[in-house]
Amino acid sequence: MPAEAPANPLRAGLRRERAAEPSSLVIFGASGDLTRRKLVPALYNLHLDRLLPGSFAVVGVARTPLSDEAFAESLRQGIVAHSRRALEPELWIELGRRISYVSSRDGDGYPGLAEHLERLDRDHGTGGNRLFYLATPPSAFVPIVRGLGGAGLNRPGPGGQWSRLILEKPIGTDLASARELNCVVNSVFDESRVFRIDHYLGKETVQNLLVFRFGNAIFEPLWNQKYVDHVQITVAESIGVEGRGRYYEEAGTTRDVVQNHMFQLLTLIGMEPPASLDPDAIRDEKVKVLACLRPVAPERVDEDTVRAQYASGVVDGLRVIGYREEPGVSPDSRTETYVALRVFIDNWRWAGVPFYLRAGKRLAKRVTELAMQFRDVPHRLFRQELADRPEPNMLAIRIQPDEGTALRFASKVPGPNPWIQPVTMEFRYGTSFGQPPPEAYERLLIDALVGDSTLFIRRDEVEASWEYVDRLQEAWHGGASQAPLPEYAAGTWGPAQADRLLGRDGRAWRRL
Amino acid sequence: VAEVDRRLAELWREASTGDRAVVRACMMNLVVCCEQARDLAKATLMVGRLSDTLPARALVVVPAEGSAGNDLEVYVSTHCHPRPDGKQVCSEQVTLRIRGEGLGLVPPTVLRLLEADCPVHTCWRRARLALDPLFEPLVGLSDRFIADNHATADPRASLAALHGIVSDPARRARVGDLAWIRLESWRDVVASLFDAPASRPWLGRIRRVEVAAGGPAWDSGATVSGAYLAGWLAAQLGWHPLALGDTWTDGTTGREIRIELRDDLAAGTGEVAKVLLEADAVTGGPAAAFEVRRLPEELDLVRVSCVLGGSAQSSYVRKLSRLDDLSLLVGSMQRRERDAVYAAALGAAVKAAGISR
Repeated sequence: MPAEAPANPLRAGLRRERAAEPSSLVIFGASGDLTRRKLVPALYNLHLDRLLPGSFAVVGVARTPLSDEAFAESLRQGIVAHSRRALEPELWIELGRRISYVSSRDGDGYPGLAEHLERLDRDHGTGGNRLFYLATPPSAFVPIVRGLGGAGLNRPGPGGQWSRLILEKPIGTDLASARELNCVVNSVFDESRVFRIDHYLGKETVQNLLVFRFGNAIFEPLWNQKYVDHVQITVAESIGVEGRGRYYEEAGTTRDVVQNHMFQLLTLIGMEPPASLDPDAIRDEKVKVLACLRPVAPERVDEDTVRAQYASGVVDGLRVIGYREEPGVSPDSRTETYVALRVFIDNWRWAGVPFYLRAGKRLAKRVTELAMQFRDVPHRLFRQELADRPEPNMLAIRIQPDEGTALRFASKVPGPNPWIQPVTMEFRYGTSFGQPPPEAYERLLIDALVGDSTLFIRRDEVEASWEYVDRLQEAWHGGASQAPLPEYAAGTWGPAQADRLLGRDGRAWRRL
Repeated sequence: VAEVDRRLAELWREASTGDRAVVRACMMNLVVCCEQARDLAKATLMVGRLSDTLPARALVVVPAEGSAGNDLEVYVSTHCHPRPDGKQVCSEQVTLRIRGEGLGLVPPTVLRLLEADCPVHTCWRRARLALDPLFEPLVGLSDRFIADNHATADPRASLAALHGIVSDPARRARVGDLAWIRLESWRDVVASLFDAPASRPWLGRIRRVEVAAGGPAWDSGATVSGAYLAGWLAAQLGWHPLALGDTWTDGTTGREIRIELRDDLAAGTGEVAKVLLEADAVTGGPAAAFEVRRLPEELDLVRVSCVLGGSAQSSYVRKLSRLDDLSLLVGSMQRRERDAVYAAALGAAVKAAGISR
């Protein structure tokens, strides 16, 4: 392997200290929704911010026969419809002339793709570096990865050129399928060159969790079982299955959201300080949290978990149908659209602290939040009626929408009486820095281009989270009961059983 | 000053009467020093907009209308911004109007009016730096001192004054210059020419640098933007400037580098029109020319090109960020650490221009 080139000295001190090298981005599943709605708008915004390398090319690969021009036009329409910033004609012309399309049906297969990429290296100076993005259904992952390997597109070039692979979730549907997929992927691409996306990790607030915890001296001393009463993690959506009934029947909320997004949030809030900001140092600590998760015992599954389905109801003023009436959903479906869990991390820091997780569709509003409630004061100096007791301190980290952080504490109400009222100190990401944060895919794409895997999921993280979810599924499905799942009205905060999950512990879900 | 405190307390009481709750916020002290009475409206507008993002106790120092008298008058006012929850977040502005020798009262008054335990940022909007009687006292009490060398009367003297602060380790103030901050997107585009490892060898073989930028220029044709960009390249690439507009030498190899700074009359104040870097052949590669040139009639688009051995290798269009001064100011204030790259670039520019001698 050639020696690494010295860093660019002119980058020192610039806001953008890391820059991507000349490269080609190859998107499989290029005619799909993800490409049009997320990837290409993200690329365009990176281009606007001068974050893409000057010598860059985008290659779309899909089954649909399309000309380069027709493909570029579909991407242009995607930018117009979904970019956070308006399309600027001159800059689009610049990006558009770097876009080409290869039909996997009519082309010469992977050797043809290899020749196409070599041509781009010559025409656009892309330097032999390739980033392959699999924005396809998971069933296509294995044949594509094997095809890339067969054509030698997985191998680093003789001059140190790199070849990287991005995979979209879901990575498997259970531990066995995830392992099988990971084995195939790692037989072709070394793990250091595999980038598994969970787009939550690209959100600024999620990244800020590490800064918040390990860049401030005041929070970390309190971040443990001595001072934390419990933690709540909420991933609530107001939408339903949106025409994806058949997919959702197989997945359910646990596989769709808990195994990935929620467990990523859980690991970031629960992890120990990493030894460094090296990607593997951070991911080592995250995987330790997953390894410490107490499995749900079958005999405790009813006390520690709640599953439910949405029934018809009213969301945003509109009447909506229930889950079992959705197209593609079985009328006697037992797939959960809501899940609440009481989870314990059995380690020194978190012994005995419950982490309450809830996620669901057709809830009252779209919100993702982490909330840490601190223990009450040891002695009530300020005597108040029971009902008026000050609420304990609460730290709430809002992931979406209105990303930010709020800290609730008690304050004296002005006047002669020692009345106490909770007040909130707030920080909002969108307004505090004078500019809106970039979209998650922008950050993730540029990180993959520069080879930084910190915000991507490592193989052992995926497998550890599936291990927990598999046991949970076994506990749920091990019993003989085929009774329908409890229901909650669409547009509410979930079933009454979820309130009782916390109520039994003398706690309540946050009102969001 | 006690009267100012009393009036401010009254102001907050009045603002919160009835069911109209206001939150007073203060993240820093912001001292704005204006040159003329007519600058007050602009300064007040800036403070008002800034307070939406960075609520501050603003102290605006401005000459009073008319020149008779030797005194200092103080006025207080508030800037409020509604929040989605219906509350208002407000911050205060104290305006110090000076007449004649009232100028001497400014430093102690400002010192007394500073909000405790909050950093002090000074925005210097006066024509001169070192010769101004307010300069030294205000630098002395500032955590961050931000000038704008595109607006000063004598840019060379101003660069020297800023360098005096930057190079004095005993100084508390971090220095910023909007004229430098505005160049970030140009520096970014020039740096991008060498992001590819394959192009990096030419960095050590540069033999000629040409920068064309809008004035005001001094006698050699150099402008603040040109001097900063040349100083930046010199500092980052280890060149030793001998004199601006003359030959510099590479500190490692002793190679000579010709620097040519031009005042581009068609460009607006401080605006860069072109940066050209010409490099000799490298091992296994031909001579190269790297150019970033503003597109005609386009303020924020540049064409970036690379020519190897006389034939065009790549050419593409890039967008420059064109942030307004307020956004630049916010960015500068949020950057708390000492900017070592700026210090080195300023040092090289000043040394090359011979203005510290």
